[in-house]
Amino acid sequence: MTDSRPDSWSITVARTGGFAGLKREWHVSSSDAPDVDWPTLIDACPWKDAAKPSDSKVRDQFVWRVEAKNSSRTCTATLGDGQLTGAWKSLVDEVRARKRD
Amino acid sequence: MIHGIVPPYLLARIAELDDARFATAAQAARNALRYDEPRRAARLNFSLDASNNLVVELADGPNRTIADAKNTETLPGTVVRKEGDEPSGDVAVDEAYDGLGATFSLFSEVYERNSIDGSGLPLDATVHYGVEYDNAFWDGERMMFGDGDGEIFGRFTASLTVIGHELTHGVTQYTAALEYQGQSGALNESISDVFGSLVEQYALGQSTAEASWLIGAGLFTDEVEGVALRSMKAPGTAYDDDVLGKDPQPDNFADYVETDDDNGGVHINSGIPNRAFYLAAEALGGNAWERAGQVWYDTLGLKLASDSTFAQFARATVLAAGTRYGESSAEVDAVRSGWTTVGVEMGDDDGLTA
Repeated sequence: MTDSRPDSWSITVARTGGFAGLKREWHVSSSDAPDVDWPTLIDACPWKDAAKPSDSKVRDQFVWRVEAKNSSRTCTATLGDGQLTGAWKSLVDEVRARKRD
Repeated sequence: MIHGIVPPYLLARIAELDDARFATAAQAARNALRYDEPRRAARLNFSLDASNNLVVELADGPNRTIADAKNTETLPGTVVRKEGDEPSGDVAVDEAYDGLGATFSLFSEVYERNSIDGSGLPLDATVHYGVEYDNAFWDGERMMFGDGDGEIFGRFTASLTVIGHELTHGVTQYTAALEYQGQSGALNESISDVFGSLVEQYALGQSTAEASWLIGAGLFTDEVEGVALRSMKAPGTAYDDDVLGKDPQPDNFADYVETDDDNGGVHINSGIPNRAFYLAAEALGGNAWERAGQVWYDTLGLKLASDSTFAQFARATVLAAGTRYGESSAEVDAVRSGWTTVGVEMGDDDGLTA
C-alpha cells in the first residue's frame, strides 16, 4: 500500500474474555492523532499470520480484536493475550493511549 | 486427627525403614513415592483406633510453588513460597498458596483425585503478574494472578472461587478437554465455575442453602455497583454498574448469546449450565459437593466429545447420575429437572466418544 495516501485510518481495539468476561473497546481516527505514524504501525502487523486464540491451551486469557480500515482497505485480526507482542502491542498500546471508550 | 504435610525426603526415609514394626508404613510410603515421580508430597494422618493404637496413614498431598512476577509478564517469576514454607507475609502469595491447597483438598478428599492430572502434578502459580493486570488465567501449565487496576478490580487472589476456577481448567484439560469455543467452551467455563464455587463451599463448610453461589465476590473495588462477576444461582444479577453495564449472563438456553467475542461468549453463556448445576444441587439439598458435585465430576471422567453441546453434556450428566445412584434415583431426577428448567432439552445423544 502507499503510505502517502491522505486517507484517514479508523482503528478499533476490543478486548473481550478474561476471567471476568467483560468487554472494553478503544477507538481512534488517525486524523485525530496526526502526530502518530499510523500507516507504519498498521503495516508492521502480520495481519495474515494471526492465529485463532482458541488454538492454545490457555484459558481465561484476554481476547483482542483489532480492526484498522480506510477507504480502500480493512484489516482485522483476533489475538490471544500472549500473541499481543511486538508490532501488535505497539499498535494496540498507541490506540489505548488515545482511548475513547 | 492431625494432618501433617510430609516432604518427599521424609517419605523417602519412611520408605527405607527396615523394621517389621513399621513394615506397613514403609510400604505405604513406597507406594506414595513411586520413585519414578520426583517431587511428590503427601499428607500423614495420625489417629487412634478403637484399641487406642496409633494409626498412621499416608494420603495424597499438594506440591505447591508460588512465584512472584514482580509486575512483569516474565514467567515463571521468582519463587517465593514452596510446599511447607511458612506464610510469606505477601497477601497475594499466601492467598494463592492457601487457595491451591483448598482446591487440592476438594478434589483429593471428596473425589479422590490426586491433583490436576490425577497423579500428583505440582501446582504452580504466579502472582503479581503484569502491571495493574485485570485478570487471572491458566496457561496450560500454571495459574497467573494479576493485581487488578485498583479502580475497578482489586487483586485476583482475593476470591477462593477464582483460584478454584483456574485450577479446574487444568482438571478439564486432563479429562474432558472441551474445546474453548461456543457451547463446549461455555461448558468448559461452567465446569470451572462449578468446582470453583464448590472449593469455597467445601472450605467454608457451607450447605447448598448457605452458599452464596457467587463467582469472584470481593474482586470489585467499592467503586463498582456489583457483588461479584457471576451468580450461578441467578445469572445476570451479579452487577449493574454505570461503567461496566449490566451482567450479561443469560439464565435460559432460549437467550443463548451468539457472538464472535470471547471465543463465542464462553464467559456469558456459562450462566446457563451454571444455573442447571445450582438447580440440581438445590433440589438435592445438603452439601452441593456431595451428590450434584459428584455427578458433575463423574461426567468429566466420561469420554465427552471435545465439541460437546449443552444438550449432549446434559445427557451425559443424567447418564453419570444413573450410573452412580441408579436410574430411578433422586439424583437423576434433580439433574434432569435442572437442565429442563434452563431450557436445555436433551435427547438420547450424549456425544460420548467411547
